[in-house]
Amino acid sequence: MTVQEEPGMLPASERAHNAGLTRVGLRPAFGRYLAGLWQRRAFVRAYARAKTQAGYRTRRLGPVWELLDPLVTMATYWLLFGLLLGARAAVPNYLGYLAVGVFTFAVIRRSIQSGSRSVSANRGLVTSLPIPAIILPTAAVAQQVRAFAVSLPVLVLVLLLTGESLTWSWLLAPVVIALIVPFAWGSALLMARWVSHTADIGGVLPLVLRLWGLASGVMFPVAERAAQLNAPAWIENALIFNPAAVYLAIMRDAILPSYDSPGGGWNWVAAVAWSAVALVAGLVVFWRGEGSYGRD
Amino acid sequence: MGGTDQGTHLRVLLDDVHVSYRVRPHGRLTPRRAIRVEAVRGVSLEIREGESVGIIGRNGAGKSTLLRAMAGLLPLERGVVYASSTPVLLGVGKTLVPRLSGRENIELGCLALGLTRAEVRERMDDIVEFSGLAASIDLPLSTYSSGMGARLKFAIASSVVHDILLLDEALATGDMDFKERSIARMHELRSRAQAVVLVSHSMSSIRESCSRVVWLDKGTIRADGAPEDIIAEYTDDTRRRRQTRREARAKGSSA
Repeated sequence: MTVQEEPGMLPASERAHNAGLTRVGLRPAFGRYLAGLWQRRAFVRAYARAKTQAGYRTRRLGPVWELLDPLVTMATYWLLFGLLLGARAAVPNYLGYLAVGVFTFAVIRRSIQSGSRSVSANRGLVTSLPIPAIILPTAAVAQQVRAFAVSLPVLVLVLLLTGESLTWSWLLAPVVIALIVPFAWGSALLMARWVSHTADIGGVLPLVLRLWGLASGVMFPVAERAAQLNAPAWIENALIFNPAAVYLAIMRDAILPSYDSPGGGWNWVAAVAWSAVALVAGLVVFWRGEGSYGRD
Repeated sequence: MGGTDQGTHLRVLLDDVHVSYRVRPHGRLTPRRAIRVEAVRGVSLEIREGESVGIIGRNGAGKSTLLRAMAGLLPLERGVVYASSTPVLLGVGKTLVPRLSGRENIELGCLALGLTRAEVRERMDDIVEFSGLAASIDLPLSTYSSGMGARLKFAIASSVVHDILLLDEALATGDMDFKERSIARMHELRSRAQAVVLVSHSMSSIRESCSRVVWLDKGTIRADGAPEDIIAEYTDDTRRRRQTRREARAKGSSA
């Protein structure tokens, strides 16, 4: 039943062109796709804010949980790793070490986790509103960055109370955050595309993320421990230069003067590289999936 | 825009559009292999300026899928949709974000439709008033009845003027009072749009508002023409089907 079967009639594409029509639903070029995201930044902001507030409303303690959650996690790890397993002896200020690890890794972990679910959980939104799907993981990450900003004073308080001094290196903290955000965003985009067509990944992800935290030295200096155990150099390097470990290291070097991270200045190089790779890969991979997100 | 076209002013052109869904039937433990369900199979259609096209057909004929494909919200299996500007779908079936309040959903919906924050602030009161939901506008959407949700969605979607408007059952929502208001709003939107496509099961609203009717059956166009003719054909067909079913049932019980 095609129209152009009638003789003497122009093919559909030509008639469309002559009438000044353009194709609908075509995936825009990469640059225009990103420009579209930029145009919708008000939506991203409003969505992140509304989601955060909706989360608060369902709990009696509301925003207090933003602080309570990392504090309870810290208390658990302090008991488990610090006291029972003796990690307290491995670093000068263990509580400070743990605080930086838990608060910082929480941004990465929670961004990836909620970003990865955002597309599959909002299928209705993607298939009923003319919005590019990329704004969903983006808003999820924005929401987690907001949460981190809310909890930041507690982290500073813990550090000062445990005897860390305010030094010039603290000024690097915003730079560290500026490197973490693109990494978390890119990773969230990668995972969001993956979870959107293989839901099983979403089930395993929380566990993988927790283990990743353990291997990245959130709870205790895992690379130093590997060195003590005479692990091969490649294992030690893998532990030091995995992305989460790198961001934790530069964060600790910035605001935890009592501790020197393994890896030193190379951590900064690695951090920039990981941020760039994750961001570019995430954006490109997610863009290439645009148009398939509402489907199955 | 379309100025090169001599007098015909084509606004939307569907060329052999196919849409299919992949679904996985449940196996005993894991899902079985995905099968393809063809919802729209080869629809070609031309819509010109000033036309308002009603799409009718039985449940599952592919009407809503076709609308979503026209709005570019679903990937096409085959074929192309051309339009002078992206057609905007005003559906009332899906809620926005259930955990958020009505007011937040209005804000998000309007931003998604391309309004700026200032414009949203400006129109907020009008939209709330039009929806008639002022008393529960700060409650989460999950506490709304489906009728209330539909009213909110319609109030949001209809607050913006679109060149090409796609409507999914929008007229059949709400109580008498809201229905009258939304019919008035619809007339206004239609008068300002360049082309309108309406999917409805209500023959009276189709007759009232469409200049042309397309009958969709099992994903293909079965008939296309003047509302009175097509609606009559469709009603006849429905009656015949019912007759056949009744006879089959009678035969089955007598045997």
